[in-house]
Amino acid sequence: MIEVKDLTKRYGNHFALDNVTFTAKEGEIVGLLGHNGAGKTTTMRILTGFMPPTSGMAKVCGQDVITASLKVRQLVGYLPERMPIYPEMTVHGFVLFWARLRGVKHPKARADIVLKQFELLDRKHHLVNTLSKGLKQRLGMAQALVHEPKVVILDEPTIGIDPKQVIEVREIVKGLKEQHTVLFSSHILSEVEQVCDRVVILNKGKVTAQGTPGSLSKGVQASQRLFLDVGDTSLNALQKALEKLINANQITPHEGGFLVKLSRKDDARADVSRLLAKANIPLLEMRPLETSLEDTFLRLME
Amino acid sequence: MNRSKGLSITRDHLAQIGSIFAGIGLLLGALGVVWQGNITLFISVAFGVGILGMVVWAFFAPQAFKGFFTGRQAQKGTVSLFSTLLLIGIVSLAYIIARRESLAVDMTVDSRFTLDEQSLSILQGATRSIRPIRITGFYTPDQLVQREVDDQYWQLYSNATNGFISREYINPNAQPAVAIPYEEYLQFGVNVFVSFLNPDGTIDPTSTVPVNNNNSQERNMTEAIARLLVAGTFKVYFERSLDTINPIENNQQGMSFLNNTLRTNGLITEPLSLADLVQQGDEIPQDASALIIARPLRQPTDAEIAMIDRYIKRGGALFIAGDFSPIPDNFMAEGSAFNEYIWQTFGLRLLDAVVVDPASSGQSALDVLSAAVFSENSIGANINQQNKPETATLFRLARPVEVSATPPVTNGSVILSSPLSWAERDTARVIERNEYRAEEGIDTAGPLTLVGWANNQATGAKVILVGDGEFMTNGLSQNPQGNNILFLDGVGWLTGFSQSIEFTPQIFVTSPLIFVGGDLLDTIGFVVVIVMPAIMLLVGFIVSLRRFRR
Amino acid sequence: MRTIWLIFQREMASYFMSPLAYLIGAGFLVLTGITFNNDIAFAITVRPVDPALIPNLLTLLMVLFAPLLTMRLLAEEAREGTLELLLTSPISDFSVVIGKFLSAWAYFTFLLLITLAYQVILAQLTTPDLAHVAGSYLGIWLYGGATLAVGLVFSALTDSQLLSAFLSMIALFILYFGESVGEVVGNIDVAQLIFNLSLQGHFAPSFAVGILRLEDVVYYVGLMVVMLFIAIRLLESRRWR
Repeated sequence: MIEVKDLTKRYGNHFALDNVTFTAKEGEIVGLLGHNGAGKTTTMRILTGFMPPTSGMAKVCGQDVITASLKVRQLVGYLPERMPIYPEMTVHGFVLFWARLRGVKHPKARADIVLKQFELLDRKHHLVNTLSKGLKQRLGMAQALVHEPKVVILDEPTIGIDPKQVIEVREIVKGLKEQHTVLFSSHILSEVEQVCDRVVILNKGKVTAQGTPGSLSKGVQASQRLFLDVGDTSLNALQKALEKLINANQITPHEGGFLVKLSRKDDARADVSRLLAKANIPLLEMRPLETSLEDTFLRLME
Repeated sequence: MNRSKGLSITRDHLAQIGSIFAGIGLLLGALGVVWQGNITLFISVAFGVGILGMVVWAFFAPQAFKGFFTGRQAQKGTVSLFSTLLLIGIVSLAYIIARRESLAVDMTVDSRFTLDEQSLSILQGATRSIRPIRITGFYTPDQLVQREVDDQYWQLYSNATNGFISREYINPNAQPAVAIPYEEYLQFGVNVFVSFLNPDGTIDPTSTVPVNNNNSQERNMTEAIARLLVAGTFKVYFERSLDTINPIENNQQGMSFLNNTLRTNGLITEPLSLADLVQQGDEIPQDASALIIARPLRQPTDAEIAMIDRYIKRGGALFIAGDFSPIPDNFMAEGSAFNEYIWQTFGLRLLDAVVVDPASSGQSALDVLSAAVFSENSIGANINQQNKPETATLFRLARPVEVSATPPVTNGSVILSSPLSWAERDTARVIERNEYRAEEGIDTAGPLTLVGWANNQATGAKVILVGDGEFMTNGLSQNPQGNNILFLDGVGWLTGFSQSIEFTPQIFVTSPLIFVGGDLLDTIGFVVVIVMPAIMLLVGFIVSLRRFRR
Repeated sequence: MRTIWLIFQREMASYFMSPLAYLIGAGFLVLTGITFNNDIAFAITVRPVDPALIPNLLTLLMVLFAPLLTMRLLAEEAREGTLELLLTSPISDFSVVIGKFLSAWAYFTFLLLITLAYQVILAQLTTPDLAHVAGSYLGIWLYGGATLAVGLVFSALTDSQLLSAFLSMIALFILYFGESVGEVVGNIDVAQLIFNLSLQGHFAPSFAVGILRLEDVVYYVGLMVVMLFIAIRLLESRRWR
């Protein structure tokens, strides 16, 4: 449903996006993960037709975002990063306005449905500028969904709201699965892990990795990490003992012991214990550490 | 690359600077070429800077540079620019067409911007003229707005005559030589003129008539055109052989001012010598619309009187101004042949007396101002206008005119002195000792006729008789203006000239003055300045409450 | 058409909900009221009432007010981010610009109609030249539309309301004072050309004195059309810049 190929956005010599390629299939929830300035918002703005790419292709439901911009905009529901509002409108009026503008057939009915869905009915006649940030996000979601778009694009919808509301938003997004294709951006890993079917990691405008949260972690687990408690042994002695197996810089102090990073796929624990015994280094504890997405992420961010 | 935010100049900055210089340099260069028409130093420098800027830009951001000219940005940008220019072109074209068509609707209730019937009929006559007519307006650049407004009127004339009457506007600052003949008028704020055009397209300066410059623009222009059209069809002769005031001399005692005034209004003037005509056995010319006898110093001979009589019998007109003089056998002394002739023929004669009017006079009771004016005919219509004291006439040492109660033809008075005046017969005393006293039985009591008229409706012969001649001299004819108004309107009546350009006054229907009392004024002021804005503020306040409350 | 109406409706609601718009309206009424009141005082003795009095005042006033009324239309939306929502909705840039322009023009018409109250007052006291009044009101209505269109262009140009107001005031100032160019420029043909490009050049010699000329209508409508076209292109350019 979303197809992005070699998408590039350049400002002078600076590349906001550099040959970004990814897809999102129908019914999928895809997460865009990256630091601020990685290119998430830029990608979304291009997909929604707000700004043009410098080169490359972007399609939504098979329609090109540049040549068929109006059609694309009809198919997309968009929640921008900072949910913009018309302060003097009422909650109901706001949703109704966007419903009508997007050509919804029974705007009043739909407005009521989405307001119910996002639990804003009781504040129907309040002015928009009286809402808290969390409620504004809900309102934003309401307007994004009021015209039942096939594709929903949400730019950091959980930023700046309290934890309870964050959980609510995540549940809502998960609930969108199947009926909609969702593109969802964040820089919080746990969130993306929980919510998304697939993740695309952006760093400085480039895609550094993409895949399901599980496969990404696994992919990184081509390397292992072992925690060693070797008592009073110095780093030097340890490095020397394991030098046949491991590079010196792969051994770092860690929480009272040492962290050893191995690139081998096989279980290297036996070899390590043998080498330590040979060097007469007491082995008090040895356990493998799980590589989490967090680590993956941090790794990829380097 | 996360650098610290210092004053680091990146390639991007340089490229940007380059592009800005390129744009400005090339733009200034192009504008300069258009403005000045050739390449000057400034333009070369501008282009140089522009090209240098482009080089810098291309060097530091080569891809962006290329993209600017070939990418989608360039295409769309160029398309937008060209489509905008095209639209501007279309709109300009529509505007030019609209301007040329001069379609306009007159919204004023008294149709100030539509030519009325009188104007239209005169213009019909105008198009029958052999020579086309030109309206010339002198406007300096700071009078541009006035020119635009005036053009709304002058346009009407061009349009009504299909261009037979054409318009030309000249900037006297740019073309001072052209403006020289009109200098006197331009100084007095008269800046529009109508003239005939010669076959070669140049203006015939002898035909130029100035257009008056007051509020009734349409009327002034039509009047001027009418005057132009009748110019040359009326000829007035000044008699010279009777030692009259010289119409050519421009000193205080000459009469050049009134002579020129007649000419500017389209009458032809020429001197005439009765003595010569008598000697040659000729008659007063057939084309004499009027004969002006301005304060002669000798009596006409019988032969001359007979010649005048023949002229009168065939419908001629006379403007006679006698004068008070202590010499014996003064022109038109009581009992003299000519005085009797005018009495017999028209029922008017001059008396041997001096008008003394203590009630309506200038410096002394002998400087008689027009106390009362009959305005039934056009001679007196513009004299003694309300609130305009300058339209009175002033005669110094005037002889009264006797108007016969049983005249042979229609006659009457134009200007009278006040009831407190009298005709002082003891003129010697007046002259020697400047004393005068009304003596019952001797001195006729006022009101006295100062100017009389007569009209033989059978033959068309007319005469105006005035007891003072000095009022026509350059020294006294302009101040008060009533003096020259009397002369001009008098000649106009005599010749029939004023009938040709007689106008019904234009009535302005709009905006009569409103009469509002002090209280009502205060109420209106209060409502308009306080209440209405206050209501608006109040509503705004309520709205903002609602907005910030919920 | 439907979307133009929706945008128009929203903007009109915004005008009538905005305290600032009422402030501007009140200021507007104070100035026109004072002018009208002063003129009556004169009209008792000195000269008759000028039917085009208020429109003439407004030709200058709109140089100030048009930027104030239009500065928020696009600049504020860009700054607040609502423009992003608008431009990512399935509506054309044309609808956005026209809808906003029409709302500004309608609000101006509303204020203009209020000033007709003065004519009503006048009609109780005398017989004003109603056709002349109608003509000059038509003229200032078109004139106002043209100035609002200029203001809209500058609102489309920048994100800052203040900058937008400032720039459009300068632009309108130049267009307004073109009529006095004759006092500065020596060449009368150049002065004439500039005069014909100026706002006043198409009001003072015609609408103000009671003539309706086709060329003036074409000028104002043409200016509106060109300015709106430029505004649409500016908005559109976000999609290809």
